Amino acid sequence: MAMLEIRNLHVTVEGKEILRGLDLSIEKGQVHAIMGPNGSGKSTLAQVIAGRDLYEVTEGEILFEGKNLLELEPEERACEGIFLAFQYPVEIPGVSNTYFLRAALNAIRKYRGLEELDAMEFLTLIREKMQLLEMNDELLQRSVNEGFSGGEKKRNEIFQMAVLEPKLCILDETDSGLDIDALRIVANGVNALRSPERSMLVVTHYQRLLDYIVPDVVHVLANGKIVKTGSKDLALELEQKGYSWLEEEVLAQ
Amino acid sequence: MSQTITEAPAYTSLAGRFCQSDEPQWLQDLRERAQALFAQKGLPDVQDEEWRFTSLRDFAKYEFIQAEPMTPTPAQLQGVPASFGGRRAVIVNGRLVSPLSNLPDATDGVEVLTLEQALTRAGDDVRQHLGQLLPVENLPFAACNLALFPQAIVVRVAAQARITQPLELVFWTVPNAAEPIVSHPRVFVLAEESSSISLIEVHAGTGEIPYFTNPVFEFLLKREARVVHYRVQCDTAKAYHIAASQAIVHANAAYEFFAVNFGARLSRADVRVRLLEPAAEATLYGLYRIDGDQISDLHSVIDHAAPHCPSWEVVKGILEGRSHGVFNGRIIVRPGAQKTDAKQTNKNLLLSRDAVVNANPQLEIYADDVKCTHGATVGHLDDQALFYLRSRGIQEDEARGLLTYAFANDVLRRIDVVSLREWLELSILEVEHLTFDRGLLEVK
Ligand SMILES: Nc1ncnc2c1ncn2[C@@H]1O[C@H](COP(=O)(O)OP(=O)(O)OP(=O)(O)O)[C@@H](O)[C@H]1O
Ligand SMILES: [Mg+2]
Repeated sequence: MAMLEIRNLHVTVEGKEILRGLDLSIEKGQVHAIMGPNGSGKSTLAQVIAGRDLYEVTEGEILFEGKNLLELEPEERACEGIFLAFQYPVEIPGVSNTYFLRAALNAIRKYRGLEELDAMEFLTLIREKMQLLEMNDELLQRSVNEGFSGGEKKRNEIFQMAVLEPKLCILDETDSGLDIDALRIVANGVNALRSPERSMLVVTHYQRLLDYIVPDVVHVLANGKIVKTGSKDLALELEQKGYSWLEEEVLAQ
Repeated sequence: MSQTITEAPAYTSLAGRFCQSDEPQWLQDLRERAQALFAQKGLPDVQDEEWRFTSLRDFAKYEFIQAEPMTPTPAQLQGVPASFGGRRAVIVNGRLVSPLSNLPDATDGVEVLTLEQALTRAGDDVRQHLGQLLPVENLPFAACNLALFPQAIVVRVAAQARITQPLELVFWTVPNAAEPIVSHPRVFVLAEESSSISLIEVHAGTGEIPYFTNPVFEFLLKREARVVHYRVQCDTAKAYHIAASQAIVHANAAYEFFAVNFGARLSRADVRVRLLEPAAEATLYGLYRIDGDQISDLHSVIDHAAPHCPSWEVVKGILEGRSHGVFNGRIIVRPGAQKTDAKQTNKNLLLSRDAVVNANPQLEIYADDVKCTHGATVGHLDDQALFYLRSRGIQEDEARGLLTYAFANDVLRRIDVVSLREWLELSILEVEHLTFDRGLLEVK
């Protein structure tokens, strides 16, 4: 059984159909990349999996470890092991990063029947993850993402992911806004989380991220559907040729 | 069908008052003038610009009777907030009850005095200012208080005294079982030169019967004095609370005010600060949380009467149910008050669809070299922020609580008295379900 199984997914937002019969299957332990032109629906897909109710699923299903994901609230999905690293992380003035992260971690632990971590245990855990992502202490005491630079926000997403240890990691353009060093650090953080038990769905526009996080499968999303699926070489081909040849190919079908 | 309620209710007549006939003549004169004023004007109605959004129609149905002196039983004192760590005066139905209080003594540098005591200690200031710092011409309820208050409490902070523990004034209302009562607390705070104090004013009560509390506070801050004034109104759900205060701030003195309220059926506060001499400072924070049919109305006036005075005002409202919030923030910059730096912000968080807010900044500027800004917002919890928190595993109600906390924290975190801050967090935000850990919660 695949970890994530999406069948014939149709999604509309404000009356406009964005996803039009999307199929996708990710096996446990695999890393899938999704590429595709701007506005093709990549973030929509990521947000729908995480449970954003702005998007209306009109047809199809999403199964996560065999469970019907569409019946679950966003927080239940998170507790089941889904994590979305946002393309645009949200700023939350007045809520400290540390408090937020501990509340999240303990909510997930509680759901899974584990003891909540006390302040000491929690701090030990996050110290370790901070080193992994070369995070500055000071960022943790600030409000969630408030006043963070674009790159700091992205790094903070992966830091949260490292702390929460999800089963399915969805990365929505985590590479955009990162400088060369930060890209390497973040990619190392992601790679440290790769395991036979964990799957990843990586949305990106650029090959350079995939040089670090080497995918098992690459998909192209266009016009609300997966129009092509291939090996990691497909990403290289796209980088050279762009998407127009694909559109012609799809139209020719 | 509209009903006019301008007539002064019978219970406000001087006949009903308990004032001693041996009062000094100046005070008797003040009382008579105030009474005449109130009798002539009566209760304000919504035609009155100052009461446009707050109707007194419900209020006017009651014949409140003057609270009689009483010593409450222990059962009647259930619910009085625990001490925040300092000395305290407990005032029941408008009168100081010494056995329940823990008053400071002369060596503390601050005294809580009756009028007679105050006249011997600081006679000139009392005669000149008590009942006169706050002009009552346009404040009918303050006029009513002046006519009828049964006892004045004078808080005097000695020159140079730096009082480290907050002084608490707890106003507790124990309603009469049969009829709704009214009390008219009256306080005069005299902060002598270079003194400093924090004052916590709490209004609360007990029982199911409506009552009416009508407090008036006057503050005189002499040069370089510093007063932090916390005002917490958590009266019962049936209570009517109409308050007025005035602070007069002299050179280099600073008045910092926190108005926090979450109680009462109807809450109205007229808060006035006058920056009388150069480099006087005013800081006003307001935070209210209301639900159901509650009304919270804050009218503030910051009057810049001298040059080089900064003022800073932040008022935040959290509204649920069909509650109604009103904020009218007036800033006056008098001719000659150059280099005034005034900033006013009003933010409202609506947690329901039926709550309503009326926000009205009122800037009156008669000087040319000044900086004045104001801004008002009304909004709901941010959907994106809510989804972000939930997508990390945090339950929806906890996520809402956290965002509401963050909204209020902007004001609460500035409260230096930790026990007070924590009590407010629990009472206003009902945050028990947030696993509370101050160290982690605090934002640098
Ligand atoms: N809340 C919304 N309201 C209206 N339209 C929306 C909304 N969210 C997404 N869309 C539209 O849906 C389409 C797909 O958007 P989506 O963000 O999924 O694209 P994307 O593939 O992630 O693009 P990019 O590569 O630029 O990030 C776009 O046309 C976008 O304008
Ligand atoms: Mg996108």
